[in-house]
Formats: sequence, structure tokens, C-alpha cells
Amino acid sequence: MKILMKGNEAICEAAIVAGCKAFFGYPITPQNEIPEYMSLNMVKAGGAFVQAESEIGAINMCYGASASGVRVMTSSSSPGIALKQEGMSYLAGANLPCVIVNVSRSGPGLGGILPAQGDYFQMTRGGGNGDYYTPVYAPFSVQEAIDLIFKAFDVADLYRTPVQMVADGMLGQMMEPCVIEPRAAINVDKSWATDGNSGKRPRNIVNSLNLSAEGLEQMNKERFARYQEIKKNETMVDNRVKDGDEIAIVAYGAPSRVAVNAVDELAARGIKAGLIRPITLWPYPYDVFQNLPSSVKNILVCELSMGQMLDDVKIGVAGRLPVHFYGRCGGAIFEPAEIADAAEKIVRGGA
Amino acid sequence: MGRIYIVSGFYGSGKTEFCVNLAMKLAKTQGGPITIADLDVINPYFRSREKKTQLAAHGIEVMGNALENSMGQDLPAVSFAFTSRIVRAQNVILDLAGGEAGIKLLALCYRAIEAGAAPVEFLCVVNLFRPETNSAAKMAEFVRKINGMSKLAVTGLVNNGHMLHDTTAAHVLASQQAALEAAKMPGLGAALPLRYTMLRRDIYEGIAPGEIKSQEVLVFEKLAMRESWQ
Repeated sequence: MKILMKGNEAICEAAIVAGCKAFFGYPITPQNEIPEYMSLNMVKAGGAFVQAESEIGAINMCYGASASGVRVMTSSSSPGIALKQEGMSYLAGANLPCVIVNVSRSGPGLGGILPAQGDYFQMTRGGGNGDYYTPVYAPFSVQEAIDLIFKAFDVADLYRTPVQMVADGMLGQMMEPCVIEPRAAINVDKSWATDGNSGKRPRNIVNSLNLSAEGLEQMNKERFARYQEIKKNETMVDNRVKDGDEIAIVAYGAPSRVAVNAVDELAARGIKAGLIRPITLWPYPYDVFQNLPSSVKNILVCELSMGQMLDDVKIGVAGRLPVHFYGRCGGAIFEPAEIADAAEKIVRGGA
Repeated sequence: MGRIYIVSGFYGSGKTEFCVNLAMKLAKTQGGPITIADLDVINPYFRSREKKTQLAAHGIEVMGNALENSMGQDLPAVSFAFTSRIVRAQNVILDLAGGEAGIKLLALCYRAIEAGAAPVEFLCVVNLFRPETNSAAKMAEFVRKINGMSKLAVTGLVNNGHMLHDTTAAHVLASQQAALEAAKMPGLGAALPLRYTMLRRDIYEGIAPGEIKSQEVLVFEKLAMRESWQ
């Protein structure tokens, strides 16, 4: 049945339906509805909720809960996610599943509370110390946020990795009609969990410390073999570029909705534009840029930042086409006409 | 003499959309001065202050909890300049934050309301399609909670039954039915009137006259608080 929910509430409800049994969080705008909703509903669902003493406390509680084998989630917003990086590196190092939701805001530092996409580098390049990545999902609607929460828990369990979702403040606060229904459960072996062995099996240890060079190298290589599988199986992109389009606009998350309207506006101006919307930011859908129709002569990257995903687009395009950028930051949001103007200038020459 | 409109409801019930549309209607039918007191100190998105400039063109002033009505301020501190408008019995719309927590700031307005002695309408906006008010019983329970927290009691309901861009007449009428049932439930004092229905013009025009049971109707052309891409 369709109901109206805010992005933040929908993320929580989807997590609960997906079997999340532990949530640890700490308040920060604009994600406060998440801990609030979880404080009211997690216990009702037979799970545990703790408002931690800090973001660092929360992510380390996730480590402990995940080690016991349950599905666990935490959430925060940009500066709070920065604080969680140490814990995320430890989760990755110990091969622990966990879902981390970043309802992002403007930065750097304390920044502001309005929407921004300046956390791209931190989310897609590891963020903490050591050799690791985390899958990153970037929904553009409340329904997609719900679908991707189910996906995030599955991917975290299947590949034993922390998984991030980024929903900027706008999506977190926006209300949309949506459906939240249980999905088919995946079958995952969690025989590694420290859930009490009662002497029935050898002791399990969950740890990221390994003082043997060969041993640690082996652990990292094994993890990167899983990353190869993630790249092969889990890369997601919404590619709307059609044969005949002159320019491809690349945008992700809620701001890509502005790009959708910009594409319509460009059509009205007689310019054929197509949208490429990466849904996973890591692994990044590089391949999409290798198979563009020959009609596409330019790429325009639009972000609410000074240009971060831009680097990944350039890697994907690999010099074959000019890559342009239009962005706003600090909490300012571009209008469809701004993107259309930038694209028109490029197509008609002069940029 | 103006009127004091206190507008409450669950998060996302459409309080702010209602306040903005009500202010526009008052501006058209009665003229200024009209004040919207944006008392949402909980949620920094989709607040009436975002439309300050557009509303000013209609003689409507938005006063809120931020310096210069900046959107990026989330300090829980409200400038109470608007209370003098209440004392002077002008038209003032109190756009509360969502849920029971939003009622807390109302306590700071009681003295001004008593001093001004303008008639008070305490409205609760309901939408059958929000999970927290998805039945008549839940709507009534929410009104009871609000009444329990406030010195004033809710005096009327606003039906804002909708599914955003997917709204049909059936949504509006189903929500109206629940609101009418809720209004008669015990524990709300006397039976509450269904004061307003808020809906988009094309949906309004598709509903037969007489099917809308509220005392007044607020018809809008497009959502005030949503951009084209939202």
C-alpha cells in the first residue's frame, strides 16, 4: 500500500523491515528524524536503540553489534560521518557488515545545514586509514532510498563490508508516496559471528589487527577480491542517454532531479540532452562513458560541490570527450534553468 | 479585528503549505497586515520563511527564529516580535513545528493571545495517507495528545488528504471521511468542525459540489513549498 513518508522516516522503516536489529546514533541536523524514528520503533521491532555519547561511540557500537551477527545501522550528517571514519576503517578491516546513512550537509568543517554533495571523495575513496572501499548508494527519490536500503543490508552481508548510503538533506526531509514491503531474504552464512559458542565450535575472533606482514597482505588481497565481485555484480546506473543526444548531463542524488527538469527545458530550447545518474558512487559506473552514442559531443557534470564526482567522470571518459562542470555549494541549490543555461552554452559554442 | 490561527499537525501533514495558502487567501479577501510566525524550530527544511520574499509581495510578513530569516539557522531561539501583532489583534498565523513537540512553543504565546483578545482558531491539519494519522482513531488520538499538551484546545480540523503529485479526488474524500469521523470521537470536547479542505484546483474541479463537507475550501494552483523538481 502506498503511504506518504519523508526520506528519513522511510529509510528507518525500510531498515526495520529489512531486519535491522540494532541502531546506534547521535543527533545532528538534518538527519535527526532517523534516530528519533528509531528510538520510537526499533524497540517495538524487537531490536536495540542507543543514543550514543558521540558519533565515534555510535560507530563502535555498530562494530560490536555487527560482530555478534545482527543487522546494524547508524546514521549521521557530513561532519558526523567524518568522525565515524576510524570506526568504518575498523569495520572494513574486520570484514563486518554495517549500513551507514549520511544525510549530507554543506561543509567543510561544521559548514551549514543545507543540502550539499561535498562528501563524495570521503565516501568513495575509503575515508579512513588503510586499503579499503565501501559501496556507496545514492538514491534520488524516497522510493529509491527504500529499495536501496534493502539492497545495502544485503550487499553488506553478502560481501562482509560496511555500506554507505548518501541522501542529502533535501531527500531526507522530502515527503513522497512510497511502498515499503518485505523483500525475499538472502541466505548468508554468518558462522564467523561471535554469538556465543558454548564450546560447540572453535572460538571466533573478530579483529582488524594483524601484525604479520604476509597475513595482513593476504587479508587485504582477499578483501580486494571481494571488491572485484562487488564491481562486477553491484554497479548501478540510470542511463537515460539516447542516440541523437548532443550532450550528456551527469548528476546523482536529489540534485539529479533538477537535471531531469533541465533536460526537459533543454528539449524546449531545441537541444537534445540525456541524463546519466550513477546510483552507486562506488563502484562507479565507468563503463557507461565508454558506450555513449557517437552523437554525444560533450559531458556536463552537475554537483552541489566544487566538483568531486567530476574526477570519476574524467576517469570514465578517459579523454575521449570534453568534460565540463557546473556546481553550486555551501547549501545553494541550482535551478533547472541554470543547468540548462550551462549546457546550452556548451552545445552552442563559447564554453 | 483579526484572528489568531494556530496551525498544528503531524510532521509532513501539510501545516506550512496550509499556512501559506491561508495567508494568501486572507491577503486577497481581507488585506494586510498578515503575519506568519514560523515557529518550526525543529526542522530546517520546507519552512514558510523560505517563501518570505514571494509572500512579502502580497503584504504577508514571515517572522521566525532566525536572524534575517536565514534558512540555514537552526538555533532553537525564536524572536518574539510577532507577539505584539497578536496583542494588537491582527491576523497572525502560527505555523508550529510538527508533532507534539511543536506545541511547546505555543506556551510562550498564551499571554499575548489573552491580552489581544482576538478570536483564536486552533487548527489541526490531517492527512489520511501519513502513517501516523492513517485512521479516524489515530487522528483523534493525535488531537487528544495536542490538547493534553496545550492550555488551548483544538477548535477545528483541516483535511489535507493527499498523495502529493499523485493525489486524486478519492484521496481527498477518503481523508475527509476519516476526519469527519475523528471530529466526532470522544475526548475532544464538543464535536469539532471540519473547518477547511485544502486541494489543488484541478482536483477541486473534479469533485461534485456538495461532496466537500468542510466549512471553507482552500484551493491552490501549485504547491507553494515545492520546487518544480521536487
